[in-house]
Amino acid sequence: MQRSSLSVEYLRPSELLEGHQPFGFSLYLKGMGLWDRDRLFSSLDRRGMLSPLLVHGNKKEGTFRIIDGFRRAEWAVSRGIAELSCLALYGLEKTELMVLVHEAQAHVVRTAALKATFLGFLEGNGVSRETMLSDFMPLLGLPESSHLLKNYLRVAGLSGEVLRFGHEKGFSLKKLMNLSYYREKLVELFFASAPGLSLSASLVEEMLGNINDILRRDGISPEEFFAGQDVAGLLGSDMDPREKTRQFRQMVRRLRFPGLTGIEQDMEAARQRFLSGGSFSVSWDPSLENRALKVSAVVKSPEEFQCLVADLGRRERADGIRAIFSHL
Amino acid sequence: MTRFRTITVHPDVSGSALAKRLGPEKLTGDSPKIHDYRHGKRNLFVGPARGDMFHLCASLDPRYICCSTHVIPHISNCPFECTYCFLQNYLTDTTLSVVADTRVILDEVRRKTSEQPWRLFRIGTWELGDSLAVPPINTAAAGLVEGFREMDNCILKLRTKGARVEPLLDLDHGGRTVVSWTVNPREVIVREEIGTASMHDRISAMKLVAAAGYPVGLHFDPMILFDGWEKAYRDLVQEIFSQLHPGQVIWISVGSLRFNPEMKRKIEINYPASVLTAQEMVLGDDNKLRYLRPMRVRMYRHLLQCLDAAGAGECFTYLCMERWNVWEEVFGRFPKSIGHLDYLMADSVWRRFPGMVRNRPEKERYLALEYPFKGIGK
Repeated sequence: MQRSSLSVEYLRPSELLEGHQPFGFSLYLKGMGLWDRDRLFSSLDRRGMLSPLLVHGNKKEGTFRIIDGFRRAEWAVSRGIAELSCLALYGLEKTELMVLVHEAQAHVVRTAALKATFLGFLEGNGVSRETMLSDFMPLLGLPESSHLLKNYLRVAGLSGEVLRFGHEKGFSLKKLMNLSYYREKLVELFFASAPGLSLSASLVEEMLGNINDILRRDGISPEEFFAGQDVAGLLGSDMDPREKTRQFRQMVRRLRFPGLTGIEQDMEAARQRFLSGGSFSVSWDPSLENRALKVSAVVKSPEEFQCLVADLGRRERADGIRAIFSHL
Repeated sequence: MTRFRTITVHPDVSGSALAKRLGPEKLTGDSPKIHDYRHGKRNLFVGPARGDMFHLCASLDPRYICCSTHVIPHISNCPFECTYCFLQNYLTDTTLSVVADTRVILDEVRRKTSEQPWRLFRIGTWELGDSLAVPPINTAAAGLVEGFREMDNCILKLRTKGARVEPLLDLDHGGRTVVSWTVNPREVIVREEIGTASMHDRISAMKLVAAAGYPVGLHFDPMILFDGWEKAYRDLVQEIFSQLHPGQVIWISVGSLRFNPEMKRKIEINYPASVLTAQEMVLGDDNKLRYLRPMRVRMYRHLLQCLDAAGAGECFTYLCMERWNVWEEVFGRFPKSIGHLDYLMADSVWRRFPGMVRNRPEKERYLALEYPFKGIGK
């Protein structure tokens, strides 16, 4: 087996950063906004560079490509450093190079979103699916399943913004897969609104699912939905993100379930009108499937119990119960 | 038969009547065990019976009123492609399979039903597929029809969305087989029941089997909402009963679209043009999505009115997998238990189809039937 050789080279960081970067997985992360540039730069300012860059050299062409150290090279350029010490490797095969890229990023590539991104990066660099299965799936802590690989590569096709969100929220592959089934434009427009919203993984799933169903039911495009007066007005407002999210969620739910939310409103109005202000509460199955009302109360004395019974005996209470039952 | 890409016959049943009818292109071996839902539909496997073949319909749930049909999984998968079909999320081996051991099935049915000779068993073959979709499935069904002729406390229920009834017409069925159709308006058949027979062809086939002396069953299930559904279902009922006499119809079941949440994604992937899953639905206690209850009640009431107007009010009509409160809203009453509905159906058959039930059904015996649970869960 032919072994690679290595040497220490002193290279200009600005030249290293020029042109095509075949091993630039960390540039993907930068594109996704996952570089904490300030933190690393201040550390480098304090202590200087503690380890050399790892580069791959082409002796014939006299060129070098960074395997590990893009951020350090950027720091060096920003600080006007002319030369950097680099550990240069020669004669490595593509798979070996990609293994080194993975080693350099292994501490980051832990979530499903970044594993998908890494596999997508490999595919973009011409690594075969067979090699991904045999060499990289185990490196990523994944079973050598072609079905699983197919799913990861499907997820890798999501936009960087979505993958970043999925990474930050710790989305599972299944959750990411769900996002990958929606129209690209819908996901793009939804996440374009995301900075002004306070979203959890389950909220994203619920709202995207509901919007997708509205589009399919009404035969409208994502652009038309997001440009709608109510939606655009709400999303464009400078409301507190939590409140904006709450209102947007309600709006989407009303559009998705007009019948159910209409009945809910009527029932809620009956509760407010006839059944509020007492020492008991009334609830029902929100799906309206079960014809039953749950009336609950806590009493702390026989007197409280008598008051409760008297209160429940009032005519408006019976009217309220009847009004709610008319919907059940 | 040429519609199948491959036909495989298991060596254990190579001598069966069904296998002998298959062409020379057939292969011998085990099931190809196909996993792709669509691919499986194009590959036929004729095999032996495995395990128990006779059991209660899997839909049985204490919170819903069930007609307690028994089933024999004689067929698995179906050559038709209904967008709402649960099989796309259910089968692991999707190879279209038919059991050739008719005798084994009949022996088991005979043995188990003889334990309750007073009871009328309604036994369907459609749990995992269409009973009569295409040859040779329909010819396989013919073997069962003949076998049921002598079982005087059983009714064989064949159910289809096709029109391939020819193999049944000259059989000596002894009046113990009901041939049933799932029916829907043209709009639904075209959009959601891909590859199935048109309503015109289904009705023509109904007339043929009715003329051959078979009682006909009708299943308005799943009813599906779309613009103009009220008129479409009214026209459908009128079309059927302009060709069929209500006295030829043994029972009518009514139900609405329902599927479990996992199916939603499957349907959307397999049939992206279908908007069924975008309709307003809620999740019930049995983990199935259904239209809102007030909407379902409206649909069922409308259909009942159409049936009455068409003179079909005398047919025994029941709801499939619905809650007691929905029954009450639709009919003004509800069966007190699953055994009670079983009794009501047997009693209706006894009254309307003399000879199909040996003795008058005894209500108390049906009410005392034991299921994994008793009564209707409210």
